[in-house]
Amino acid sequence: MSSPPLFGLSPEEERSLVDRAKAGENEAMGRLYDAYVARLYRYCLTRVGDETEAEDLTEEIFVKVLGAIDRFEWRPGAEGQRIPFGAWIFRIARNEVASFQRRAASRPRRAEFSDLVAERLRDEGRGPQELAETKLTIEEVFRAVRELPEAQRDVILLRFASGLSVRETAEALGKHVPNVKVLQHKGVQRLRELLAEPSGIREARKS
Amino acid sequence: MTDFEMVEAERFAQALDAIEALAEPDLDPREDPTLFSLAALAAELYDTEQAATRSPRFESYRERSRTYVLNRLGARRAAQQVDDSAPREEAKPFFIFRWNVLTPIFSAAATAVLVLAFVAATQLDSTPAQTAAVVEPPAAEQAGPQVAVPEPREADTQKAVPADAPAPDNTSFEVPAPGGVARSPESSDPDYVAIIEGIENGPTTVGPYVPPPTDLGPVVPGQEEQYAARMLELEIERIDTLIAAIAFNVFNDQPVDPAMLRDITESIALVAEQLEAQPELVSKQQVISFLTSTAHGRTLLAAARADEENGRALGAARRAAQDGVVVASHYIREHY
Repeated sequence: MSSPPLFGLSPEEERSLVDRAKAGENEAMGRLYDAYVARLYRYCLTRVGDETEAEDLTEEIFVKVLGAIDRFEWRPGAEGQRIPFGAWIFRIARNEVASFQRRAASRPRRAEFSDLVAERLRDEGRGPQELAETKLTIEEVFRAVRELPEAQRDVILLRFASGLSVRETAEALGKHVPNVKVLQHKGVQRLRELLAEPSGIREARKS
Repeated sequence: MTDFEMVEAERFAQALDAIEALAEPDLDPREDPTLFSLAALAAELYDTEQAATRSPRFESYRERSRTYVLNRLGARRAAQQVDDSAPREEAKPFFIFRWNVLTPIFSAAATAVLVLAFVAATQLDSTPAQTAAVVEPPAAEQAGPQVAVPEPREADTQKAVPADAPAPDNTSFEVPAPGGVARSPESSDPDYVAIIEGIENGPTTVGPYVPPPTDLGPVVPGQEEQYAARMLELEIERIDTLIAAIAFNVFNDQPVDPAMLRDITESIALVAEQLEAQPELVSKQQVISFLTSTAHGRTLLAAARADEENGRALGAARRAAQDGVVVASHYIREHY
């Protein structure tokens, strides 16, 4: 499978930036941050469902990842395949989010995600009709993703929120590529079922 | 897993490849409605996820967070370099041998002395000719602002800032009184003395500000913990001093100097890291001081403004102050 350049970085550029960041070059770290911040934030947001917590987590993960970048080692990959730096980042991110959720389990949530989404959309100046429609879509999708079985959820998040390729997703999760393809297929199938369910039924099933 | 499932999963993966490449997947909705609908949902998933990072809030966050992350990493690397060059015969607490922290601490202390002397002087004599002006440094010079200090009267520098000093509408901080900024033991340093005497003895222009060379001296074996505690105290004092200096800018509706913003970001991050990494070396009083300072700093920085090119530094400082409040509050909840 081909690996097109994503987010303005070709594999060669990314490799060069990682090497420069390992040497302590600030500008290179800044460019890696630029390349990954939106992907990492989306991953965290979909996992935790709270914008402020997702922001904090994203920041902490970057501090951890870039602070430990000198320990990252390239592994040989086949010609043309994207190098697995992204996989390394999201492996760390996955562990950090899991650790965060364990810590947060005993704390009350700061705000309902639906309120925050509505607030964000109001910021963007959308009309009430559009607000209602879009809010439902974003909220429902994020909630449904969080209801997936863990293995499917991990694959869906890394593929759709973080933009990792199948191979990178497999690297990040320590799975084989065919396995990831099956999980993403099943995950989207299950999402379709969840999204088709009326919300009342889903709430009742959850409780 | 059946062969059929494997084949369907492979076909779905190929359809996603096409969607990622912004091409139409090779699927016919009439011949393969199930897979087609899954591909359509996948495309919607991509769009929905992308929408989460298209908001003004995220753009604002990205700017602030980038500066914060890079500053924090830079501070860590600097500290690491100092640690690497220090003797290794025994284990060292967090702040030991961080000489690089000392210089800006006393830089900030002296800056506060200048600012507070000015505030005290202008209280007694507010004629326009003697009003101080903060002169922006040349673009290539990042050492700090030049402060033209008016001639003080007798013991002007001992005057406290009045409690009813004007403040911006949306702030509620207090400016630390000059008495709180005592001369440090390093005040015997010739450069430091020259600056203080310049303020006390007549009209002068001080700047660009050059931090006085200073340190706490060598660590005495067996007193590493006391040394670390003293370093932490200095760091918290540095935050207070910087807050006083930033308050001066806010009171006068001036942009805050980026060097001050970087310093306060770094100091708050270092103390917060100490609270998390070695809580056993931190006293209750220090945590309370830190919480009070960062809470004041947060309010103050919310009212502060910076030049356009320094907006990121201001954002990072705001973020650091917010984080400092959270870390200190968390520490108090956990330990007391």
